[in-house]
Amino acid sequence: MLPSCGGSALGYRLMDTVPVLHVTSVVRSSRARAQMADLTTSTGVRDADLVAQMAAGDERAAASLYDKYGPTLYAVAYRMLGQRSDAEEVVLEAFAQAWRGAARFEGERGSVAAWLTMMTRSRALDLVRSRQRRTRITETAARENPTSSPAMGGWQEKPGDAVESDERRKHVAIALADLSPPQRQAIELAYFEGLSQSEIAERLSEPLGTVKTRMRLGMQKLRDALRPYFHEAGL
Amino acid sequence: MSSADGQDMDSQDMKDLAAAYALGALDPAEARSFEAFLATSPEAQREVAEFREVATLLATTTSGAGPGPSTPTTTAIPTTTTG
Repeated sequence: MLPSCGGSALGYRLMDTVPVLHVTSVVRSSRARAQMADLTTSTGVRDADLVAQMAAGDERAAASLYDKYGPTLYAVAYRMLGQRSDAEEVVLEAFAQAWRGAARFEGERGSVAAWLTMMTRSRALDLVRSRQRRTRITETAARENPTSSPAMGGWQEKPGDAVESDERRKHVAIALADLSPPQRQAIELAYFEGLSQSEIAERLSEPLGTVKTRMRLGMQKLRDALRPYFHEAGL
Repeated sequence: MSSADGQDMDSQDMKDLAAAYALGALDPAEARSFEAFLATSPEAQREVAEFREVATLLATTTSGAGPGPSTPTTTAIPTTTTG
């Protein structure tokens, strides 16, 4: 049962689950920003070091990761959920999970960014599914207007690595645009709506095999185009 | 088609599932078969890791979408001495 009351839930929840998040605001201070500047130029190796520190109980390492990846993870969650408070909640849960599971992180299995994204998406999908169940019972009248005031953009401006991440974002956008529309659609339906391949096939009235092939080819194409950005830390 | 445990799928078929697996798009039974295969195949593990990187980069296309978090900070707790 997730609260739908926005920011206040955030604070208390974090306190309960992740000491990490207390520190977040500190990381946003100018002094901490200077530290962040160093971190945001880091490589995946240093991210993995942060995870190791987190596993050892270092809250500041956790806060650094949170500050670095929070904005993008929030954006993913928001896109999947369409609701600010839920997106926040999901990111917090993902970080709580990261905090608890840091010791089990295996760097050779992928980057820290991928690990965090996976947990965020998985929490968001859980929520999407539980919502779908709820929606069958009650009408969701109290949906937030996603275009309402962008309170507090703290996460969204990251002066330190704005240029770098703009560049990367541009390449990702180009790579996506390069896919055939059906390939892109299959990938987006899976990624942002959490549909399985059979669900996608059903929704599009396409044969399952076609959907599978499109998804695979599209992902292979993206992989080839985006390989230079793998493990590049900072999203 | 009904290879519940993936026994009769050859490894190329299995590897073809890596991208969908990384996107979380396999149906539950298929995901389980794939995971069993994955445990035995370093190559498939590498593939999955790569496709997860792709998935992670896809996240960047959403940056800036939607409003910022309503209250991204909690109470400031000084963790360093106040100068």
